Amino acid sequence: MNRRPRGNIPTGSWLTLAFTLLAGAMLAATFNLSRPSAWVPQAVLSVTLGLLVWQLIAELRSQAADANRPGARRARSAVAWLGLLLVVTWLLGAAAGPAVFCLCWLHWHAGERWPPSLAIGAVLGLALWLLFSVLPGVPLYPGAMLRLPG
Amino acid sequence: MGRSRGARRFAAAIVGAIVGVGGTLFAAGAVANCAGLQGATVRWVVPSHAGGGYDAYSRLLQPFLEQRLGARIVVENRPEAGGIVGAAQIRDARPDGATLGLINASGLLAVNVLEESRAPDPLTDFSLIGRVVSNHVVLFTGRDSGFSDIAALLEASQSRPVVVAVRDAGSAALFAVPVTASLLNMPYELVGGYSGSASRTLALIRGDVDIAVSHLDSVEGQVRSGELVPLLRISGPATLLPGVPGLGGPDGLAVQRAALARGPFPEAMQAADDLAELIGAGRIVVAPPGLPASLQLCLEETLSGALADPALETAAQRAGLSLEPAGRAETRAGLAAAASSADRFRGLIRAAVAQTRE
Amino acid sequence: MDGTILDAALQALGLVFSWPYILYPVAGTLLAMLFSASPGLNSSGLMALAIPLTYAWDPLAVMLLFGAFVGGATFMGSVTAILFNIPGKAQNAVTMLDGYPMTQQGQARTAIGCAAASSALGSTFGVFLLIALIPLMRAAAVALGPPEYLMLAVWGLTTLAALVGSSLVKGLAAAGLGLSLAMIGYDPRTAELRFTFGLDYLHDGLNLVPVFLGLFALAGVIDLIASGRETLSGQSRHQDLGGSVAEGVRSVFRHFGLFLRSSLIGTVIGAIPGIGSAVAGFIAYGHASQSARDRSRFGQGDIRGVLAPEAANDAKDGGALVPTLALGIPGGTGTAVLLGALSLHGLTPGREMLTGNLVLVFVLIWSLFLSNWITSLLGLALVNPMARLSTIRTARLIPFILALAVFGALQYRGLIGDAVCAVLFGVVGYLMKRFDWPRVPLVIALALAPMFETNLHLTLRLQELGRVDFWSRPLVLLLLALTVVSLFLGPFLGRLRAFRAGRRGRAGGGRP
Repeated sequence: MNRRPRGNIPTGSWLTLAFTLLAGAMLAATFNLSRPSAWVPQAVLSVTLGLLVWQLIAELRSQAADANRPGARRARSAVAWLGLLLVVTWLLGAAAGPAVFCLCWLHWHAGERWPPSLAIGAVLGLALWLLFSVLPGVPLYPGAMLRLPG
Repeated sequence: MGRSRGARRFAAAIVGAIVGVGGTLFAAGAVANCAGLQGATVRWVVPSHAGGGYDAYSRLLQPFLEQRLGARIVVENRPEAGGIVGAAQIRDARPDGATLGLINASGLLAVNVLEESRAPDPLTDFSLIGRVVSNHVVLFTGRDSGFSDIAALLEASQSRPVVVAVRDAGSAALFAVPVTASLLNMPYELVGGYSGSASRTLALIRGDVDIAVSHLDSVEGQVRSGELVPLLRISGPATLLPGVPGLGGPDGLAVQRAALARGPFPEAMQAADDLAELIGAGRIVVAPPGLPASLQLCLEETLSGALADPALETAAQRAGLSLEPAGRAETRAGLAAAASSADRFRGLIRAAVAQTRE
Repeated sequence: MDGTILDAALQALGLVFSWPYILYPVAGTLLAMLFSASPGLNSSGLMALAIPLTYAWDPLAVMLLFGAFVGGATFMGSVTAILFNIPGKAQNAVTMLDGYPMTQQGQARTAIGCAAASSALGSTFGVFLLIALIPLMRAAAVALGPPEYLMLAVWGLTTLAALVGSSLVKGLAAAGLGLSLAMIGYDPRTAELRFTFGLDYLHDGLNLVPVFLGLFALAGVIDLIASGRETLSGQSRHQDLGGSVAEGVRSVFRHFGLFLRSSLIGTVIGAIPGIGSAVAGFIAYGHASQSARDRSRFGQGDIRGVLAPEAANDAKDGGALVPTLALGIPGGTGTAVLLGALSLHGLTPGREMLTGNLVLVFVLIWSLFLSNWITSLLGLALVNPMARLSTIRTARLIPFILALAVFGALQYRGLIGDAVCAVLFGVVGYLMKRFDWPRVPLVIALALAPMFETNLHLTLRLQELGRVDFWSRPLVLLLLALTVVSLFLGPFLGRLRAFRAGRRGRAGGGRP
C-alpha cells in the first residue's frame, strides 16, 4: 500500500469537510428557531455532525494514498458542459437551450461535423417542443432572452 | 366601540363605492378590449393541488372563459406554502393578461397579520377581477364522535377541552378556531400537523380529534355520504346547511352564549360577523397589479359573463360547487371590510400562532 | 353480500371489454404511458387536463378513462430509469438504483423483463387485495393512524442500516444528512421556516425529483464521461447483450416470497393519504436488501432491487383506492385528481357508492388492472429495440440524456430552481460516488423523513392529550418488533455469517 506524504490532505476529505461544514451551518441555524421546531433537527444534526467529524479525523489520520483515477480531467470537463447546459437553457428556454447544447456537444466534444450536429440539435429541440409542450398543451419554460410560442 | 366599528365599515363602504365609481368612470374612458388575448395562452395559477377546491372552481370556469376570450387557458397548480407561492407568482408576473389566477383572499389577509409574513396582500398587490364564491367555513365532527349537535359538544367541553385538528400555524382556519372558541366559551386544544383536509378528515373519522374547521367544499363528499357531521356554520348563508345553527347574526350562537354569560352581546354579534366577513373575503380572481384599464374591464366582463352563464350554473350545481359572484367594486369593498376584521383579530391570531410554537 | 360483489365484478368486467367501451382504457393507457416517461410530463397534469374535456361524458366512460390514468403506466418511467438512469416519476427513482447498473452490465433486457412482470403481478395483487377488502373497506381505511404511520417510517428508516455500504460511519452520516435536508422548508406543525437561508425556492423544501435526477442521472452521466466508456452496456452489438426478458420474468417467481411481501408493503403504504409516491418503493427496496442473505450486490445490479420496488409501486395503486372509495379521501395525488373528476360528475365515493353503485366501482378497478397489464405487455414488446439503445456510442447518447434530465427537471414544476438543484446534486452525487460515499441512505432518508417527523409530532401530541395509546395498538407493536429484529438480529446474523465465511476463507463484497 502506498503511503500518503505527511501533510497532504486526501482529496476525498474536501468532500467530507464540505459535508461537515454544511451540517455545522444547519445546526447553528437551529438556534434561531422556537423550541418545538428545533429539537428534532438539533437531535439529528448533532449526531450527524459527530459522525462527520469522526470520519474527517479518520481520513486525515489514515496513511493510505489517494486512489489515482485518470478521469479527473474528463470529469471537470463534464461538469463544465453541464454548467453550459444550465446557462444555455436558462437563456434560451426549455426546448431551444438543450437543442443548442446538443449541437455544441456534438460538434466540439464528439467531433461531428456541422451539418449532422445542426440537424440532430434541431430535431431534439423540435421533438421536445412537440412532445412536451404542444401535445399536452403545457407552456415551456421561457428563456430569459427568447420567448417561444407553445 | 360598536359605533366606531360601524363608522369604520361605513367609511370603508363609501371609499369602496367611490373607488368603484371612479374606477368605472375612468375605465369608461377606455373601452373593454382583450383582443390581444385572442389565440394566446393564458396561465391560470391555482393555489392548491389538482383536485382541491380552488382547482375545481378553476376547471369549472376554464371552458367558459376560453370560449369568451378566444384564448387557451392552462391551469397551473401551485400548492406550495399553502398557496402563498402561487399568489406571489401572480403578483410578480407581467400585467399583460397572460397570467391570471384564483386566490384565497381571507387566508392571505390573515397571514398578513403576522409580522414575518411576506405573503402578498390581496388589497394592494393585485388587480382585482371579481369574486367567484365566498368562503363557507363550517365546524365538523365525525359520524361516530358522539356529538349529535353543537350543544352536545359545548356541554362536553365543560368537562374536558375540545381537541381540534388544524393544519399548522399558517392555515386560514386557524383564526376561525380561537375566535369561535372564545365567543362560545369553549376550552380547546389544538393538534397541528395535519397537512391537508384528507388527513384531517381521516383523523375525525378515526376519532383521534373531536372537531375540525374546514371549507365546506373541501369536505362536500364526506358530508354527502354522512361520514362528517356539520355542527356549526361559521360563515355562509343558512340555506347552505339547513338545520345547522350559525355563529353570527342576531339569532346566532354567539349572541345566545353571550346572553347566557350575561356578557355584552352586541359585541359578540359584531365579533362573529367580523369573523364571517374575514372568512367571506372568499376566492377571488386576480391579475398582476398595473393592468391596463381596457384589459381590466374586458376581463371583468368576461368573468361576470361566464359566472352568469346558465350552463356554468348547471355544471356547478352538479359538482356541488356554489357560486356567489361579485364584480370588482363589490369585491374590493368586501376585501377592505375583511382587512379591518383581520386587524381586529390580530391579537388572537398571534396568540394562537405563539401557542403552537411554545 | 358476496353474491352481489361477484355479480357486480362480473358485470363490470363485461362492460369493460365491450365495444366501444374498451377504447377508453386502451386510449387512457397509451396516453398515460406517453406521459409517464419523463418528469417533464406530468400524468397528474394529464388527468387534470382531461377533467374539463370529459364534462359531457357518461359516468361509465369517465371511470374507464380515469381508472387507466390512475394506473399511471408507471412502468414506462421505469424503462427510462433502467436504461438511462432518468426516472419518469419520483417512484421510478428506486428502480434506477439497481436497474441502471444492470444495463451497464449488459443486462438491460433482464431488468426490463423483471420490471414488467413485477409491475403487472404487483398490480394484480393490489387489485385483488382491494376487492377482498370491499366489505371491510371502511374499517381498513380507518385502521391506520399516526402511530402506525410513525412505526412504518421508523421501520423503513432502519432498513437503511442494511444499505450503508463499506463504511458504517459514512452510511449513517449520509442518512443523517438526508434526514436534515428533508427538514428544509416549513415545519409541518409550526409553519416556521427552517434552513432556507433566505431562498424562496426552498420554502417547500427539496423536492425528490430534481434531487434524484441530479444525484443519480446527472452524476451517472458525469461518471460515464469521466470513465470514458464507449457504450452504456459495455457492448457495441446488441447480440452481445446478456440476459433476456424471459429470465427477468422468471426472477419474479424465483423470489416469490419477496414479491409478495413487497406487494403487501406497496398496498399498505398506498392506502396512507399524503405519503409521497416514492415511499412505498423505498421501503420495499430497503426491506429487500435487509432480508437478503447476500446483500453485497444491492446497488450494483441485484435483480431483487428491481423486483421489490416495481411490485410495491404497482400494488400501491390498488391500495390508494381503499380510502378513496371507502371515504372519499385521496390516497395520493392521482386519486385526488380522480376524486375531483368524480365530484364534477356528481359521483360521491363512500358507503353509498360501495353499496348502491358497485358496478361502477368495479369498472374503475378493472380499468386500473387492465391498464397495468397493457403497459407491461406493450413494454415487453418494445424491450429489444429499447435495449439496443444501450449499445449506442455514449458520445452520441450523452447530450440526449443530459438534455432530457435537465429538461425534465425544469418542466416538472416550471422552476429554474429545480434545474439548478439537479445540477448541484449532480456534482455532489458524482463526488460522492468518486469518494465512496453511499448515496442510497441519503435519498431514502430524504424520502422517509417527512412521514417520520410529522407523525412523530402527531403521535406525541395525541398521546399527551390521551386520544391515542401507542402501546395498545397491535399493528404498532408488530412493527416495533420488526424494527427491533431488523436492527439487532440483522447485524448479529451478519456477523455469524461473516465468521463462517471467514473460516471458509472467502472475501466480502463491495458496496454501493
